Amino acid sequence: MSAPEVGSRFGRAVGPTFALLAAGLLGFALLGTLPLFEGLLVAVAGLGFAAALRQSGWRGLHAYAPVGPLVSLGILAVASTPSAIPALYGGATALAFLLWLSEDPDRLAGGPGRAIGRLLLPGIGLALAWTSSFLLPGGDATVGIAAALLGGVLVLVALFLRAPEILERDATATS
Amino acid sequence: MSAPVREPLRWRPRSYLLLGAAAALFALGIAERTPVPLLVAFPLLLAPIAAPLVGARGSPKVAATGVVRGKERSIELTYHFTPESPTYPADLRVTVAPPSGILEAAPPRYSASADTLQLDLSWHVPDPMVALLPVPDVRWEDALGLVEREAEVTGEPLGIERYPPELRRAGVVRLDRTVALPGETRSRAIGATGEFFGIREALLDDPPRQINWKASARAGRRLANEYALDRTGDVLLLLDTRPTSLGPSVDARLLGISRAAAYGLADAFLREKTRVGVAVFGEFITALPLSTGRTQRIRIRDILLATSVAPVAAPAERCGVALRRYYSRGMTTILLSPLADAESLLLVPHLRRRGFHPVVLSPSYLPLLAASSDLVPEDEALVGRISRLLRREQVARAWKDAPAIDWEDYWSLGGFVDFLRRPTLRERGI
Repeated sequence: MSAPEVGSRFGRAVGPTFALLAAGLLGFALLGTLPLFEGLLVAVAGLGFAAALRQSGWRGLHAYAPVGPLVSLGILAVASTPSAIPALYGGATALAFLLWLSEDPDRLAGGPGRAIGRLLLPGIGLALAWTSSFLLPGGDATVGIAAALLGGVLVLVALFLRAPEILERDATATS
Repeated sequence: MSAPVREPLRWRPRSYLLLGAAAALFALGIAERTPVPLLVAFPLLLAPIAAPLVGARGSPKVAATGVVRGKERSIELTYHFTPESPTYPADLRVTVAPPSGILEAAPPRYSASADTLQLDLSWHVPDPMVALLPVPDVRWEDALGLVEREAEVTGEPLGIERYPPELRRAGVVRLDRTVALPGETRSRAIGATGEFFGIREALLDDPPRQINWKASARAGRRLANEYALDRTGDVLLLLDTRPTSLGPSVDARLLGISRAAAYGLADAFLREKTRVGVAVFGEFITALPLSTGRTQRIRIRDILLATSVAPVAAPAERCGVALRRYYSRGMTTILLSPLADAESLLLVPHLRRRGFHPVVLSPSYLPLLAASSDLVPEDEALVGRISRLLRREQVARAWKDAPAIDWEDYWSLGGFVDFLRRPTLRERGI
């Protein structure tokens, strides 16, 4: 079955959530330790990659569009200063990236509105990790706490991937 | 009817991408001893877990309704999908695979309201066909595109029936009687022609000639005449599904066209309360006994849909012998056969020998061969002329035993219907 007709591809590829993602990546580049030009280049390359693939006529390429911003986000995260504000900004950019995923040109409009509820859990996780890392006293322990939380989540993910039926609703006796 | 749910929950490739990116950031954060990559990794890691937790737990239930519109070659399909709360209609992904032989005229168009997802499809049918469109596969996909579930869809399959419109007039043909027992009572039924029977409320598809204008003027609403129709006899539709020298793909297309014609004829005769039987001859005979009514129409559709080109060509004599076990001799028989080789030409004399009087409707293979030819125009014209001569010779040989109609324009059967409606010509074989 061919791609659905869901309105202007250009409008959907660089919509409001794309602007949010762009603001996040460009701001993150400014907060990092990379030279200004190189930082901005990394951010723009990721954004350009995503926009180009989403506007491409070949539908098979659309699935690879998130790779660009993800790589840019990773490079900028490693190169950023290890302090509270860049860490918070990086996490917020990751949330913006997730919101941008919901504005898929191959799907019906209104994705970001429906996706907001699904960002609640990642947002709470981010807030917990950030407060425990930066607002609690301790030196290198901050990294340790964050790593421990992350490790716990990884175990949880592995469990869910192995047995997705855990997430299913239990069948009632009368159903 | 409900489609079975195969896999309740699946992670989509995007989930693995996010989890891979999160794991890489985790490793980089530990290696560089910086918390920023870890904090960036958190939302990416938690999003695939959060996706199935918000929204429907378990397979969403979706009610599907569909309508088929359009005429002849065009098919306009409209589906409405109504999911149960809390599933958003816009989160449904629908897969409707066109049956083989149908082309997509335009990409599918989706539109969603608060309760319903509407899907409009435009298809093009190159040849007449009969097909049954199963209930579409519907998946729920979360708004971030991270997880998906098979939906539990309830709905009915849609029938697609496209055949030449002239076949609708074929039902009023005066058929030969097959049972001539002493004291047999004449079966009477209400129809569009015959002796005046009464007046009823007019239907939308009643022709102007059937409207009783004076009675309508008196009553202030449209009234139509009804006639008591003598059932003139029974009809047998015989499909020759044996493989020919034309090859499997051409055989399959010709059989598809024959099936559509058989369905159109059966539909027209059943509408006039005539008893219709269908026999499919491949390696052996598959026979549907004579009957009438809506149930018979469904039986005929099912038997036609299950018909395919036989793996082995059986001798023509077997058909004649086997038919006598199911049907009386002297019955009006419409044989649908491509008449592509000597073996299919032999079927007609064997039928006559066993007491059947067939009229042959032969879908021509020439348009199909011309469409698939890769010759230069000069050679193609020459091959076309020779093929036409060969075809005429085959049809002429069939005419020695029974009237044979060469069906070249697949969307028109006016000549065939006129031939059937004139019994004197039919008897003389003109």
